Amino acid sequence: MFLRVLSTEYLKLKRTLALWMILVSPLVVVLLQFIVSYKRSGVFLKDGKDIWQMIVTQTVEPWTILLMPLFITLETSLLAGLENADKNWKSLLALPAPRWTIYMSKLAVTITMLLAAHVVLVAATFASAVLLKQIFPGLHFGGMPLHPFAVPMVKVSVAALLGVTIQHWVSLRWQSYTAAMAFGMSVMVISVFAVQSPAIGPWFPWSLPMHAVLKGAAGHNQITLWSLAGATLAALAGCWEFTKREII
Amino acid sequence: MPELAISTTAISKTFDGKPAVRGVSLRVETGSVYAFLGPNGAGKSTTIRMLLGLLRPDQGDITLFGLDPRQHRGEILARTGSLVESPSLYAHLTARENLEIPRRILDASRSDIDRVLKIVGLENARESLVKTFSLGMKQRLGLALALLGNRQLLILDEPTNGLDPAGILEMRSLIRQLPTEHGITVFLSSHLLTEVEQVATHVGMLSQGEMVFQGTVSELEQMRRPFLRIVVSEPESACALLTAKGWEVRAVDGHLVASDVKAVAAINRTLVQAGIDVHHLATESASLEEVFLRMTRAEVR
Repeated sequence: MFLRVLSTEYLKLKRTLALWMILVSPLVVVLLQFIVSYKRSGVFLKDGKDIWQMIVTQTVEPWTILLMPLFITLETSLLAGLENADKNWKSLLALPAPRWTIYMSKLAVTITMLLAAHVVLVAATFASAVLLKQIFPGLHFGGMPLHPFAVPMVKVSVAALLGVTIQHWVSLRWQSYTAAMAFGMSVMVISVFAVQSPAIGPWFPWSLPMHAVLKGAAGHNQITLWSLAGATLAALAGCWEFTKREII
Repeated sequence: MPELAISTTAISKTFDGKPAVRGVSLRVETGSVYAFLGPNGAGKSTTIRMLLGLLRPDQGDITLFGLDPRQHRGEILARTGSLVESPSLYAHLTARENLEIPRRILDASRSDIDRVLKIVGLENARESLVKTFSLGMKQRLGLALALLGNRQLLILDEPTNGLDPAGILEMRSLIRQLPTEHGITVFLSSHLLTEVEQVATHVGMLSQGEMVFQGTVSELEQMRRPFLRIVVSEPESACALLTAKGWEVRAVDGHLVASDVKAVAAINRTLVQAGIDVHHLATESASLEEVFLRMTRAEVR
C-alpha cells in the first residue's frame, strides 16, 4: 500500500511549481557561481591556480546556507498546500490507505525532491565548469574531480534530514501556508546565529547542514548521527500525531 | 431484521464544551436512499465525519456493514465512497488524473475510471484540467471519485450545494439510479426537505445535534396532520373570537389555521353568526416542509 500511495504523491506533483523548483533553485545558485567564477577567472588565469575548488565552494556554501533552507520551506509548504487548498484532507483520509502511509509518502517525496535538487546542482555545476573551460581554455581545473564536491553534498543531504522532517510536520500540522513559511524563515534566520555557538550550533536542527560544510565546525560524525536519529524520532512523532488527528 | 449498511448507537461529539451531536442512533438499511436532514449547524457534517473516521465520537459506537471501524477501517473505507461538502479535487490535474489517485489506492482497474466518468456524464472531459470545470462538473467529478472501485455505500454531504437547478436535477437523477442500477446504498445529507423527498426511501431528522425523527418516507407522510384553512373578511377579530370559544387558531399570512378539523361546521356557524364573511373553509394537510419545520423548529429555505 505504501508504494501505491507514494506513486499518487508523485502524480500530484504534475504541473506544479514544486516540481519546477527542483530545477530552478539549484540553477539560481549555479548561475551566481558562474558569474562570480567568470569575473574572477582573470586572477586564476594569471596565477595558474586550480579554479575547481573555488567553483565547488561558491556552489555548496550559498546553497547550504541560503537557498536550501528556502527550498525546503517552500517545497514542504507547496506539498501541504496541495491538500490544504481544496480541503482535500477529508477525502484523502477517507480513502482506505493507512494514515501513516500518507504521512510517510509525503515525507519521502520531500526528501526525494531535495536529493533531486542536489543532483541538478552537481550536474549544473559541472556543466558551468565545462562552459567556463570553453570560454577560458587557459584555466586550470585539475581534472574536475567529483570527490571534493560529492562528499560535502552527501553530508549536507544527511545533515538536512532533521530540519526537513520537522518542517514537513509543521507544514502538515497547520493548514496555513503563511504559518509554515513563517516558521521556515524564522528557523533559517536563527540557524545563521546558532551555527556560531559551539554549544547550540551542533544541536540546532537547521544549523546542521552548515556545520557539514563550514571549516572548523563540529565533528561530522556527530552531526550525521544526530540528524539521522533526530529525523527518525521526528518522523515517528509526526506520524503518530498525524494518525490521531481529527479532521474538522 | 433488515441488513444495515450503517448503524450507530447513541454517538455524541462535543467541540470546546459545546455539544455538536447528542446521542444519535442511525439505522441505514442496505439498498436504501437515506436522507439525513436538518438545518445548517444541526450536526449533520459532524456525524458524517464520524462515520468516515475523520472524527472520533466522544461516546457511542459506529458500525458500517456490521464492522467496527476501529478494527476494520481499511475494509470499510474500501467499500464506502464519500463526497463531503464541496468535492476535494486537485485543480492542476485532469479529471482522469484526479480519479487515478483513488484508483491506485483502491487498486481498482484502469477501465473503472471510464466506467465512473460515464455514470456522471464526464467521459468527454476526461483529459481536461479540473481548474477549467464549472461547479456542476466538479460536483459530478466528486461523485465519480466516490463511485470508483467496488463501493457499496455512498456518503454524500450536501451533494447539491452550489449547483444550479439543472445541476440539482442531474444530481438527483444520478442518486436515484445508484441503488437500483448499481446496488449502492446512499446516505445523503441536506438541509432541504424538498430536495430529498423525491429521491429518499428513508429519512432521519436532526435538530440541534439530536435525532427527532427516523423512519421511512411513508411514515413521515403519516405525520402530516390535517388542519382547517379559513379565509375570512376580518382575520384578527375572527381569530380572537374562535380562540375565546376554545379552539386552537393562529393567523398565518392573512388567513387562519385551526387544528380541530372535526369542528368545521361549528367554526363556520360561529363566524357567520358573528357577522364575519367566510370566503374559504377547507381541510388541508401539512406539507412535508411544515412537518420538517415543526420537528426541527428552525428556519429552512
